[in-house]
Amino acid sequence: MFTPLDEQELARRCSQGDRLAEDELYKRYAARVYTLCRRYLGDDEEAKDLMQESLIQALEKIQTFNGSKGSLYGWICRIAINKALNQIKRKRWRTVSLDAWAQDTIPEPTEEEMETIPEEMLLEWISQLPDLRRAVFNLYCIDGYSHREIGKMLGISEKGSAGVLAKARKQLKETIRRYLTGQES
Amino acid sequence: MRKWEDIVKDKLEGYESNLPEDSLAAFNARRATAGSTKAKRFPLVWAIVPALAAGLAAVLLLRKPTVPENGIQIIPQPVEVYGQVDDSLDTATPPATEPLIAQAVRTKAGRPMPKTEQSKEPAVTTVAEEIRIPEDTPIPETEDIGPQDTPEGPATDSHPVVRESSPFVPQPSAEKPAVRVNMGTGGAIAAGGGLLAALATQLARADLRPLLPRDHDTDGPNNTNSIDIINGLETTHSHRMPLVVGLSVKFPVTDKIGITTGLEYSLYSSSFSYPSGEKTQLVHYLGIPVRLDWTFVSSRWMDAYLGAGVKGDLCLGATLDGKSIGKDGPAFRLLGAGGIQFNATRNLGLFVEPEVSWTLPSDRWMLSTYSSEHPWMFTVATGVRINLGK
Repeated sequence: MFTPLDEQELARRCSQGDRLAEDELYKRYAARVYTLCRRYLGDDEEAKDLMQESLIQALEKIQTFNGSKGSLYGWICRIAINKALNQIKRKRWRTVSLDAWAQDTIPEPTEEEMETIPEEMLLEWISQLPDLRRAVFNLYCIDGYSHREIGKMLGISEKGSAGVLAKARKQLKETIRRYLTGQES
Repeated sequence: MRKWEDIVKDKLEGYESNLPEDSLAAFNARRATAGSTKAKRFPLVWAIVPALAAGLAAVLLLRKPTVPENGIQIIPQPVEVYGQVDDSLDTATPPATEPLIAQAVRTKAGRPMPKTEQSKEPAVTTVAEEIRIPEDTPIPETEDIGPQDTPEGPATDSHPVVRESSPFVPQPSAEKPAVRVNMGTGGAIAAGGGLLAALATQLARADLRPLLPRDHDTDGPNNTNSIDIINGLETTHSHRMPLVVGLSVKFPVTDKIGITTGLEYSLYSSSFSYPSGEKTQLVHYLGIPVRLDWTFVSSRWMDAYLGAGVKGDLCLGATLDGKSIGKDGPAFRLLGAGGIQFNATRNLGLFVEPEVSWTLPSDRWMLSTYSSEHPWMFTVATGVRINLGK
């Protein structure tokens, strides 16, 4: 019976140019990396391109992967996130919202309400955020980076990162609330 | 109770978007394209430098070597020299009216000049004095001059002095290389092939002689006593280290491998002492070095590297006491170097570079210089280097 390769073995075989192992790596991680790219870029085509670029780079540099420092998926994710941020930075934060300083009085969605929302909808709403907000929200809320790390990655201050996150949260909450209100009615 | 952002995280972290069925095939196709695109970058870089080197090699090989037909300048010497020759040679006769030099120039030697019999250029000058040729004497054509005109008496075709010792004897045309470098289609291949052909030709033409026999070198590397085999005069010569200046350019091939090339001007200075006085010989060369460098230490501020390659030197001209004595043949050298480069900017660096070179033996040389006497040379170069595409 076929036994799935562990990450270290998969990486080793990929570094030896084993074509089957490379295909296995793609099948194992491509969909998740594609989701990550959609979250960061907000555009399906761009996300597909970025996913492919990230996996190609991962395969080219796979001999540098060290299993003792983290998972293979985490390593590929970092490659994809770095590439996504570079792409976003090239756009120079082209979208800026004018309601930045509006007070956040929207009630937070409850756990039960959130469970009713499909993942695809969440992805869609995140992708509609402006570039910088989307990046900061993804980095902080989903991928677990601190504001200090985000500041370094995006070339902004810690406070700036926190401010951007607050705006992203508010905008996303509004969208969720609208969706939930529509569902009720 | 969990925050709504945490629920978003949990939902999306493990979520896998649907990919099209042919996404793996598209990925593999893109990967293959990316690989082939990357591989295409190297031949372009490799083609430029060999093309330059092959161009130089073609010029050097197809060019007429040594002294041009009208390139001999006879330098008058004091008359006393004749007297000395007269004493040493029984065959001395009254000053000849026919210019021996002209005969030497146009005589087609049957074989390459052996190194052991090559004398210094000033020796020919001495012959000129001996036969007292005025500077303005017109040089007759080849057919008009017979071997019987030599001052040593009746000469034959095998006379060693005239045919084999004069540095101005041109190489027989039959030995001219038939290498042609095609710089058109397939330039990279032709260029590389041309360079290899040039080197191979040089190696094939090189005699299997010792490296230092051209001068009768027994006293030391820089100051040598030798016997002028034409008239038995004892001469002393000294060669100074060459002065080399140039511009160096480095093309990166990979992160650690690069091709270094450029243009170098070299000045070789020598002094020849005769009973009549001292003469200074200056020989000017323009060279193109092509070297493959491996950078083993690299930082923002400094690079350390080792390299090996070849250099072709083309003689621009030579003078003896300010008077032109024609041009020497081309010279090819093998180089080995190590160096440290201090990066002033991203594309500009100051380098210090000890280099060892070996000059390939060749029967195209005519002039005695520091490099002909010292095929192995050690130099320390320093200068400014332009780093392209760093």
